[in-house]
Amino acid sequence: MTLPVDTTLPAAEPGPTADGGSNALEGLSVKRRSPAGLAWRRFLRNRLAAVALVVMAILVLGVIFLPMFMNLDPYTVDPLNIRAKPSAEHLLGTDNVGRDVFARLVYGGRVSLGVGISAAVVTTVLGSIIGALAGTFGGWVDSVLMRMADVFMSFPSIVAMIIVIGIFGGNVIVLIGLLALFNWISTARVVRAVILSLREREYVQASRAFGAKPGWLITRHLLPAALSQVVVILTLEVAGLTLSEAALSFLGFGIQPPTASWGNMLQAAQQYTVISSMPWLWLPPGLCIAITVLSINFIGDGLRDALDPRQR
Amino acid sequence: MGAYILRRLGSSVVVFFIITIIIFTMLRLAGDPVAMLVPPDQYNTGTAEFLAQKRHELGLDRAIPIQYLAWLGDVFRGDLGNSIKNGRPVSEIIGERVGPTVELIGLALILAILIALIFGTWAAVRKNRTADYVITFISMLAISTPGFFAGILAIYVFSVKLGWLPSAGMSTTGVHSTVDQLKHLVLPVTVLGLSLSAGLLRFVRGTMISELTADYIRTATAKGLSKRSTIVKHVLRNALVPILTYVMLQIPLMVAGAVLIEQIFAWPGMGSMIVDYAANSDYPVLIAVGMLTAIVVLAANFLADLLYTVLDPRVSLR
Repeated sequence: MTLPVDTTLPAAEPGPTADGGSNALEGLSVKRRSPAGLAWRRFLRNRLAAVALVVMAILVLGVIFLPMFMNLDPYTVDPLNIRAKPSAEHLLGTDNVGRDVFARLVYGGRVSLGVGISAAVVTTVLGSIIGALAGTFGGWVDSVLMRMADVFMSFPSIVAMIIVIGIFGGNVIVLIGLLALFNWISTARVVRAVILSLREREYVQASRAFGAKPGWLITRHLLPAALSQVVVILTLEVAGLTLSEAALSFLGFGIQPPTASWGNMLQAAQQYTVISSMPWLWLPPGLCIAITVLSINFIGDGLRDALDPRQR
Repeated sequence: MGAYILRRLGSSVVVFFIITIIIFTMLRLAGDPVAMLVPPDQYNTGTAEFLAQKRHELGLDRAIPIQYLAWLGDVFRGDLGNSIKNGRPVSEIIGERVGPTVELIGLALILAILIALIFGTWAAVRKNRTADYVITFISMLAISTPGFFAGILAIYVFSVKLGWLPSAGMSTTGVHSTVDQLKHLVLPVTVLGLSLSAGLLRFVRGTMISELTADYIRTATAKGLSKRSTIVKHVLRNALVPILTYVMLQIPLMVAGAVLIEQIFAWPGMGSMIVDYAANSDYPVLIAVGMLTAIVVLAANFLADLLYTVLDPRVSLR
């Protein structure tokens, strides 16, 4: 019979010791590491996260630089080779109208990753601003902002975005804006919680007593304290929003053809014959989405552990 | 207790009305419904009187707040208006689509809860051992695989390659048998259930781990209770409250997942309906679906709060 004892306490960190460490260690150089350096080391010790980071780096670099080394054209129609199988000429075959699938995969990756990352940045900035305002001012500002959060939370964002885009139509900017509009809540909640817990601390009160204005308090004292958590959320939002973009584009409400995105490439698979006999049309974009989201999730988890060792 | 429930109910109602106002304003800003209703050649050549007549028929010549109130009044009388696309009553269109969606989500949810409870508990008990790592990795894989891609893969493997299960619809046309209907259920329910179970499993694992380190577990172990009965009689029971609450709060996610799964498997529910009607900018239908979703989600959140306060005596009511 064993009691569940947590045996995974992090081993004592070798490395920075107090100035003038013991004499027994003389001759050994004491390396000083910044907090960021320590976090980086903790991050790399998490093998899944490190591997995920490498995978993501390869994907991003490939999507950016491949078109410079290869002759890739995602728009040219090859009328003699419609729905052609993968071959030397077309690495991943051609699609319904004879466009090169590999070229569309690379250019679609630029769009999908670009939308995912920029939407995540807009989302986190929006959420941080709202959370900071709610947390710092409190009172009715807080009530109004948090009721707004309730409104947006209580709605499946995909359904809401389908309704909005179905009626207004959409383009990339609208898409990014909507993704941010329906996903800022978790960032706002976290930032607000951190600020609430710090607002009455002595150093903040001292600053306030010196006459610091709310803007100064937020940017100098409160937001920096929330930074590590915001970075983790930002990472996880990239995964979530890439997934949302893929889902919307798959349903026909996201990125519109002829522009390729991993999501709208999967649209072809709404036909049974494509699923059954043309796997080169849907397997590569599907795998790319899954690998991207999986890697970013692992990176986010690794970052959380690395930036906040208390949670381990 | 009563005062708390009333206050909580009040805030749900306020949120609901804000949602209706947002949706309604948004849809009215979108464009001229007459332009969508009348064929383009008639719309462009039609006389001003003809268009004004159409506008009057649709009640579009009244002030926006009045249109909103009139519509809200109709809703409370059970009249949700008519579809612009095909003129059928919205309540009728939605009515025939609710059943399949409830069936799909309900069964998927049961499957998800079972999987999450069993494997989440297993991972928690075996924390940081092989079983835990394997379960955690697989659940991360399931979280990261888009439900629609998993659906396509499932069709490819089980319908195309193995030929075991049908890939679309609720039944084979012309065939009326329970077995046939059950076969149609398997793929959509499993794919949706698995994708829902992943997040839930991680939550169950976390909750169980924190419960397992509680003092009462040490007491139970000290008095000689076996591990199995400690877990079943004490830990699971205590963990059930946060888990149920979590499930309630996941409703928006389930609805979103159902939209994609219904589209993949041609399931005739509300998900595939909303995609169809959004493609046609059919605002009466869209407003109604939006309202209905909001009501369901708000009710679920309200229930989650109630469950939490009623089932856990440690939660104080203010």
